[in-house]
Amino acid sequence: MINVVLFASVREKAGCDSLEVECANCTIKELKQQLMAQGEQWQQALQGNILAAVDQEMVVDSFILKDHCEVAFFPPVTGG
Amino acid sequence: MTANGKNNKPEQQAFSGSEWLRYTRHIQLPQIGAQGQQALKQSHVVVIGCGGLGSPVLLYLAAAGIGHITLVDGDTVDLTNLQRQILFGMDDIAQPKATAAKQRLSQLNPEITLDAVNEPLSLNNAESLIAPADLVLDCTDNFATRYLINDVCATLKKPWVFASIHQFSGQCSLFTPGDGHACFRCLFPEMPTGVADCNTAGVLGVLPGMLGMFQANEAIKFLAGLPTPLNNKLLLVEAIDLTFRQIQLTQSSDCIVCQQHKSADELDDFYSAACASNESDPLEVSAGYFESIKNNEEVLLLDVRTHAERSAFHMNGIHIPLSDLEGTISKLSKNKTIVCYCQSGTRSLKAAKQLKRLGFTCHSLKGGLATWLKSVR
Repeated sequence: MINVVLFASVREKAGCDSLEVECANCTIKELKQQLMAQGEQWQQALQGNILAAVDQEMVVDSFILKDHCEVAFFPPVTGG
Repeated sequence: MTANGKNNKPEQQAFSGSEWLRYTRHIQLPQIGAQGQQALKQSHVVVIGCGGLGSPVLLYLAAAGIGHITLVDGDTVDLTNLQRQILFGMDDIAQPKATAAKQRLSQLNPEITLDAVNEPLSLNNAESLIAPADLVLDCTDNFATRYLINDVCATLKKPWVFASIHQFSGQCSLFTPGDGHACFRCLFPEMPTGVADCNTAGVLGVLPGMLGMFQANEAIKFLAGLPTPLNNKLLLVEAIDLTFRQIQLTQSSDCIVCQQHKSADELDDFYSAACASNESDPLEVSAGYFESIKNNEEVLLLDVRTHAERSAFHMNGIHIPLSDLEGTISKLSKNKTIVCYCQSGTRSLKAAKQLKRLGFTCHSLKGGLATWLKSVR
């Protein structure tokens, strides 16, 4: 299992804070695709400039996920 | 007076009696002590933005005895600011923020030097304002200024503390150019589009307080030589469930600033393109014009906000939330001029564009209800 944690507008659009996904050995890109296949709200949540971190380190889309890791998805925010 | 009692030149002191007393609780900390407090006194910090983030940042930096603070903001204080911008009170409304902030801070700590710059950071003034700084604090509310701060700080090798907020979420980081660490462009290489600011999306009042205090905390520790864990890390904060993460950043191998050393002057187009969205659309009408036509019989006011917003306050006319507009358009009459309104003018402009494509005569209230309410107050 992989623990997915969402931040800012990603959690707002997806309608949840975190979830567990069966997705070991797939890439960040494949995880995004798997989540986006769950419906329009996920497509809206993950489209555009959404960044990913695995176990609190920034990663690129080709990064391969290990079982029991934590994936954080977060967008740029700009208020102040 | 020297040990042998002769009246020679007075011995140099780091602090006056009143400073010593004021900063006692810092000096008592073994990690800061007189030496750390003297480092704060000798520091020059430039705070860009005196709003939600700038308020707690400035209050704590001034209280902490940062010797010289430059305050940069081109905006004026507005009633909607007071929900979170704790530097200001009712008497400050319509006053320039930097000047009003300077007045408040000089009451808090008359021992420090404060410069108020009542203009926004721009390509024209960024380098001269940032050059004398030991540290820059990014308390702005827009990406274009954040990129400008990043690029100028990269060229001048100035450390800067970033923070930004959205509704209940925040981010904070300390960037130290020249040490091989990531910069803001490594993190966000392209100017993000469609990201709402506090004026359109709303924000929890204490959120800029939280993030501003993380910024002030990193700033004071950095200047006093204490550990700064947010260097090359991005703090993510969710105020709803108090989720915190510190994300390790990596310098990007194709960053145009870190790797290609592009300067702010070369990236001029980048900032102006980002600000282009602030220009008026021909469909937009001013609050003054709106006030003069809103009761005309030929005019139909169309509120495109949500049901919850409508029930809190409205200006009569009809109500169709933007999300329902497409399915309802056929029921609207083309005999009237439709004037769309929302909270800040963003959704109403979308609605007006949608209606215009279908042949309606329509306008959008520029700046939304917020601007109209201020203009008629």
